[in-house]
Amino acid sequence: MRRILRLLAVAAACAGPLAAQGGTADQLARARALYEQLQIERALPLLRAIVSPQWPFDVTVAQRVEAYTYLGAAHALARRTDSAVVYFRAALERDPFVQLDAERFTPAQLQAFGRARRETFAVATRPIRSGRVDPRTDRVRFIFVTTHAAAVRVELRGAGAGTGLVLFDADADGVRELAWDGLGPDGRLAPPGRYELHIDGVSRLRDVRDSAHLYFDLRHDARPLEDTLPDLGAADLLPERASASAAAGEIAAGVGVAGAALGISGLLANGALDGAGSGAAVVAGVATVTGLVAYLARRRHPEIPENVAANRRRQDERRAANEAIRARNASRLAQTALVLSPAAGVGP
Amino acid sequence: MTPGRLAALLLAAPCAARAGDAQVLTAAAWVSLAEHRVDAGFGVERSSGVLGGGRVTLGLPPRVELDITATAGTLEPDSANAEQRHVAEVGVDARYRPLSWLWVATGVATRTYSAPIAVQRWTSLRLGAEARVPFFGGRAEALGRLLFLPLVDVTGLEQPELAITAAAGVEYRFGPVGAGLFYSLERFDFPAQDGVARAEQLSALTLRASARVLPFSSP
Repeated sequence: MRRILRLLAVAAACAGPLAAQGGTADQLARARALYEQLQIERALPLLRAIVSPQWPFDVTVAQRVEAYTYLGAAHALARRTDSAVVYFRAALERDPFVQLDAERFTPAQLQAFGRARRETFAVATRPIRSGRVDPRTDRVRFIFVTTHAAAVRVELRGAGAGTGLVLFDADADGVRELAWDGLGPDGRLAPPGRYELHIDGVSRLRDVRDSAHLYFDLRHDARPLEDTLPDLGAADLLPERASASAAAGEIAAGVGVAGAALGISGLLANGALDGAGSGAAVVAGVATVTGLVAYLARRRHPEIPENVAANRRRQDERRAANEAIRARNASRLAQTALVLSPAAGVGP
Repeated sequence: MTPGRLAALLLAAPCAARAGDAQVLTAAAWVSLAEHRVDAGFGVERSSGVLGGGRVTLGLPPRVELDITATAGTLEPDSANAEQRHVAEVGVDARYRPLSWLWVATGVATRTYSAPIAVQRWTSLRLGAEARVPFFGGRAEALGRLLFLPLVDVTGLEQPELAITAAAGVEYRFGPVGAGLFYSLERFDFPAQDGVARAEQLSALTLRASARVLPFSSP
């Protein structure tokens, strides 16, 4: 039972706004039908009611603009041009993109609407649509409008930045589409972040100006980049100079052989056979001299050529690997796409 | 170890080589100043001479070496009770390297001493280790070897109580060629027979030259 009561409460809460939407839409549909049947005097009260502050239901901007447009069109049909212009201006002030279809409206209505456009000055831009743009093959599209001829400057800048990239700086009249290639002033892909499209217009007919802003977030959609190999540290490289102990090791090797030869001759030989020849002394002498020469050579030339070559080879391999990684990363960056989504303002 | 087992070991040795490593064939030749001493109960008989030899080694990098050696020469008497003897020996050896500087070695050899009154044949199995330590920036290698001969069959003699061979020396390397100087000693102590314990020893100062004949790829 408690669950049913809760469902009824939710349904009641939803019923209000839905009814309000339906009320305005129904009223607008009835007014439009009367207008189409040229029952202008019956349509006008319905339309006035919608734009009246006393209208009890919610009215969207689009509904209000449509109501004002039909009010202007109805007054134009009734040859009340001044009133028609007032209503058309009200529609244009709320939505500068409003247009009258030349095939559906009479020349008088179009004339009144044109006068309203000349007497009203506003610039606006269409909201940006979320989407993905490949800058190699596509462009980011911006659409702006001026209600009549104006000097327009459109600038794209990072949110909060003072200056940016000028996309348009010329006279414009009506709807205009701009294409942005996704590059910044330096010719590089615009960095990720929040951007502001700032449109500044100065009327050519009247001493007025107007501006519009469009905020959007831009991010890069790219395959992850590879990290380059780190610099080779001491642990990755072989010692290029022999230490003092290595030089001593040369003597140790020579003396070791000498000791082994003498040990074999003196300790392993059978004492009952009165010795084991003089060859051991020869080998011992040669080995000792070799060790001594190796020691001196090591002290005079402590560099280790094979290690130097091996280290150079490792450095070259690392450099080649990093160049390959950088090339792959550049290729991936070149395939970066831009992902755009609308934003509310400079920041949260 | 039976001869069959030894043969199996030698045949299996190439399998220990890593596929892709180039096999190396090395040839070596040497000349030795050898001195032979033996005491068979009549005092120390000394003889000496020049022995020449050669060896072909098949290297199966990084861990295996197989080689065949041959040595021959004449020992001239240096003492009154000694006599001239011709020496000839052939041997087959295999080495396995468990550490970068250490080789475990095994091999068989047969040697013949030919004297005017008799021919004596020695057949032996040897087991041991060999250390090779490079120095002088890789231009020289210190070598030490110690092999025990657990099985020695000598014509007319019993198995020796102690049979050992050892060597030490230096080998110099100049790219694919090398030269070395070594001292080696073989000692055989035989059990006493009729109150006489025979002792025999062969020492040599050897000058050896070697060259890498071909590096060729494994199939």
